[in-house]
Amino acid sequence: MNLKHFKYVLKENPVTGFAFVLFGLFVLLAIFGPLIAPFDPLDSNAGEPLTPPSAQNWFGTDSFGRDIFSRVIIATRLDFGIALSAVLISFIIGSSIGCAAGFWGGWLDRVSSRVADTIMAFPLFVLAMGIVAALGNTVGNVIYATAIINLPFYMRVARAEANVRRNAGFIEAARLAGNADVRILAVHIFPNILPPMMVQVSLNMGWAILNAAGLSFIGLGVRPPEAEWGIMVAEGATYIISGEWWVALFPGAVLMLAVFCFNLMGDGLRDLIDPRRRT
Amino acid sequence: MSPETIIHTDPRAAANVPPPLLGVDGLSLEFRTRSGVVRALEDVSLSLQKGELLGVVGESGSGKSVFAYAMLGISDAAAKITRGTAVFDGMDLLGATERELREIRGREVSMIFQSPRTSLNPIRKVGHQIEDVLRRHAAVRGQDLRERAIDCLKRVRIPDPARRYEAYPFELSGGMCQRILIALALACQPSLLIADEPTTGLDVTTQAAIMDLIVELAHERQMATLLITHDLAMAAQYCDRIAVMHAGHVVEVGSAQVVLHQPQHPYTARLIASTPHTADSIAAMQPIPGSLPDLRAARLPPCRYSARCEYRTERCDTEALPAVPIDATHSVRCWRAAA
Repeated sequence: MNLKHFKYVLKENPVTGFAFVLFGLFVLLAIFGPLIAPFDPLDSNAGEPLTPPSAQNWFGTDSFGRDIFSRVIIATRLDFGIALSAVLISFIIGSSIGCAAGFWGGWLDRVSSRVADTIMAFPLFVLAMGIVAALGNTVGNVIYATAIINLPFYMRVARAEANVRRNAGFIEAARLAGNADVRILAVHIFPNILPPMMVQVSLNMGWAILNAAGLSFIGLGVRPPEAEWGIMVAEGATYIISGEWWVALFPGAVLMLAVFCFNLMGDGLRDLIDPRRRT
Repeated sequence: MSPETIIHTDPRAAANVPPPLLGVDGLSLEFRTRSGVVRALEDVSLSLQKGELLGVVGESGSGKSVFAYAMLGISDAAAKITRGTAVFDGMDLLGATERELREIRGREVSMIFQSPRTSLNPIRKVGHQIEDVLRRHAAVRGQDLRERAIDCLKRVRIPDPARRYEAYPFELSGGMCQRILIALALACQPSLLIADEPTTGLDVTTQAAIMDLIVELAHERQMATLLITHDLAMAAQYCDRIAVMHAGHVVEVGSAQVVLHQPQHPYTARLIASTPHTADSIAAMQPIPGSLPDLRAARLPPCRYSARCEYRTERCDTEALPAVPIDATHSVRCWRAAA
């Protein structure tokens, strides 16, 4: 994967470029958020509650007079952190189990497939709610809950992709070159199923952010006064009827933009890691 | 330890009777499937000397590939070897553990597959794939690895090997991929090469070039080669000896010229007659009547060709028939030849 190839993928698909730029911006916000934010996100100013967007408070202020623009920026780190860790956990665990199940079959396949079926039998958001409620109301548990509900998708994709390849000629050839199964899995099967997995990862990032925000929206996981997009939308929701639209709109719009960005990135990521696209 | 030293320390070598590099005796293999037992190989005996080219010829389903896979211990899970022995260079192939087999695969015995495209990892550079084999079996590391890999490519006459090293399989033609596979198979200088229809799907000129290459490299290194093909003419052109297989039996074994010009088994004769020549018209072609018997049948006749044979007698369906030696190197499994 080199720079030339990166440029080529961008030229072929300008939307991907847009998504990558957007993603880069979000990452910068997550890293340097506290330096960029003009105000302290937790600093309430009782004198200016619910002021509409202005030159001083770009996104207006909320019921406690806190600057919404600053809060939206600060929340990026938390939301991306949750989504990224959750997706990472489910990707690593799900793809290794799925890969092994598809390759070897047998009891591992039967057990893991039934576990995945069981997880998917629940409405996923309700399951996440249940997990957080049972394990305790912390950010860590939001991450685990999000990871668990995403697990079946990775297991299924990895299992199916590994399964169609387990009798492929090059696997047979690798075996005949004296490779042990574990090495075949790691060197030959896994890299081959990575491109379709990447699409899944990217889409999943979007869901994970929505899921984390959704849990906070109903009061699980992240708790006020912490800045988090879901909570901010929840807080703002009550003010929409009375005309203070900016309280819910801006965090909601940023949330939407983040999910949109991840959905767009999927195909681009696949094109980047699949050498067959370099023609 | 190199294979040569093993042979020289073998007591039989001192007695001036070199043991075959690969000796298969009375091998029977069956697939236990849900729809019954398929007796895919029965009483297969073949031997292969160092540096020798043996062609295994037969129509699809005659058990050629099953035989090769059994030699390498990579048969399907449903396959069960019921009788016989297979000894490679003093090692019992059928009794060996998976770990022992892994040590010889790729180093002592390697295989060229029939579909060059699917036998290469599609998203790994071909140079790295060759390095994988070298790293596994030869004590080569670091920068030497790359040089050795490029060297392997050079030996199979790939133009501009340093550039091809960086190529992915999809960037190469079928013939080029087949050369890469040969380079892979020969990377560790094996003493036995199994080539399973190495030229299927290639055009005639590439086919000839690939075969010339295999034969030349085999001679150069005294490598024994088992060439599996359905093309009798090709086998006769390149091989020292030919074994004709039909429905899991080896029906005739002999030197290539003898089998081609004085076939003793009716099946071999029909196989030669059915080979198309350029001048022939379609009407002049003589297909072999009938098809392979159902190997799942509870009672197969001792001669599995009898249902298709024009010389069939009552004896063919009743008496068990061993391989009948015509002379020292030629043997046939047929009552007619025995008479």
